[in-house]
Amino acid sequence: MLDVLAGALIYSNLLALLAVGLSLALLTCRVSNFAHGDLAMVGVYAAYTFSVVAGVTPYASIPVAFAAGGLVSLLAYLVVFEPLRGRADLVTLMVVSMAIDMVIRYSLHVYADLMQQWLKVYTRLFMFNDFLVEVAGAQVPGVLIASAVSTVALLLSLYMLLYKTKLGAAMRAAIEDPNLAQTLGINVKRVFAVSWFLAGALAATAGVFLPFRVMVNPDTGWSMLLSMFAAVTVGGIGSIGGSVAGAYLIGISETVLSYQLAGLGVSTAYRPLLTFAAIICTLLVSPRGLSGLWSGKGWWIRRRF
Amino acid sequence: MILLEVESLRAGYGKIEIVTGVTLEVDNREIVAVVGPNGSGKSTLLKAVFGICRIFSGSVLFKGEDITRMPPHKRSRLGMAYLPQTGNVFESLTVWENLLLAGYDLRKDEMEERLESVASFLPELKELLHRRVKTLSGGERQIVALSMSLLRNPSLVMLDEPTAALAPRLAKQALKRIVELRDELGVAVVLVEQNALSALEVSDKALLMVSGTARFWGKPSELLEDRELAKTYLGL
Repeated sequence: MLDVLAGALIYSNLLALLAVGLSLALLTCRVSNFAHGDLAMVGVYAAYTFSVVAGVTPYASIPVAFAAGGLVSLLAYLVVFEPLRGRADLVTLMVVSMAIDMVIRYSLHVYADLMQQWLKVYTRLFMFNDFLVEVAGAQVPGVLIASAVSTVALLLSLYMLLYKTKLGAAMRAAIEDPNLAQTLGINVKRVFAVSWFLAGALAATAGVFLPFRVMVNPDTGWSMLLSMFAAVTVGGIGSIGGSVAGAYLIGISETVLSYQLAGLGVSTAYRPLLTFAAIICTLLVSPRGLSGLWSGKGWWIRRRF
Repeated sequence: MILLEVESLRAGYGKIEIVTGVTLEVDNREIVAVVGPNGSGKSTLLKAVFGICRIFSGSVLFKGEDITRMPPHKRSRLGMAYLPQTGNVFESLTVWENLLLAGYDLRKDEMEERLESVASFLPELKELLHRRVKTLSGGERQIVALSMSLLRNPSLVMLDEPTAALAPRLAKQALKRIVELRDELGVAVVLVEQNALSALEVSDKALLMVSGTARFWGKPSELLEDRELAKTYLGL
């Protein structure tokens, strides 16, 4: 059971980083970004490549993954979503993001083939080697500590950026009303570009922790989309704080409940059913999600400067 | 000295042209009233000059510099301010937070200095500082929005129907304040206004727009004297 809880926490940490990025995409360009899971895989392959080439642990490759995911996300924003901002409807943007998903995913497949030839390592269904850390007499997987520390550090940094810096104030203003923000001299394109870089970088960082627990291939990110959207919906669409809360709720309940059901002889293949049930219950009971419970629209932009 | 020169401007949204060839000039320290029937393209003209709608052809020069393709945030930094008719304040924030955003790239000492100067022009501002915008009346919101646009010390302010949401008494006060903007702060104003007579009374030049084009450009008194134009398009 302890291992299940550890797995639930690791998964929730990843989900929190992914859900925050997904929320940023939603807030800035009103796009439900179906390519967001692939950014996690960009992180996986960037970290894998660097760790093999440099001969270091994948943990040491986190900055490389952070930069790679951020740059791919920034490119998607500058080339596709910025030109479409304010001109395309929600459905068009969603379909466009599906196209970007395919471009990134199949580019990763090509890259995986090239990497296999180049570095002579398995590039599909591989895992990273982890180490155990002794905490209070118990053996704890290293990824639990690393993912928890990274998630807390990154989310705190994001909070500091948004609420303690001028750039953060500009980001929040541009998200609330881009037209008004630009009339006040705020470079909306630039602050949204920063948001998209961060969204991709957080997703890619989350990706680095994934192969410590499960075998991955370029499609793994895509298969995590449902949980990411569930976290964002349960947390409250458009709320960054809500996304974090939603991620832990979904991550822990998904893992623990599917473990309990497995104990009753129900296949773990039903795991997505739990995620869908969470989305449906949220929409029925509190359509504004968890954030709707603690305040009204725009609570997070109203916080002190 | 000419501050703003708009030459044969054609602008609109998507593929639709709303402004179909307008030329105008704004000098330092003058008020230009843009009047005309509903849907004649007055607001679109302001948006085009500020760069927030599509420009098909023509040019916009500000302080002698061609800004036709310049992004709006840079125009704002050059000394041009634009006050939209609606959505001109961040509803969910306090007045103080709105002002901080309006001057977000100013240094702290610059910000304090500018705020002091704006508050001396709009004394009501000090009482509103810690109120949430959503609790303010229409007139108070206009004061906040105007303060935000003045925070960067602009040389040109473009106002889109600043009296639209105001009671007649407050509308009169707002127009008086626009005159003070010119006379006390030396700011040039482009004023789009539904209440044509009030706007023409306080302005130095007038542009009558009809169906996206300039039907009249000249002195307000001449427009008022042209009975046909005044009656047909302004209902005066």
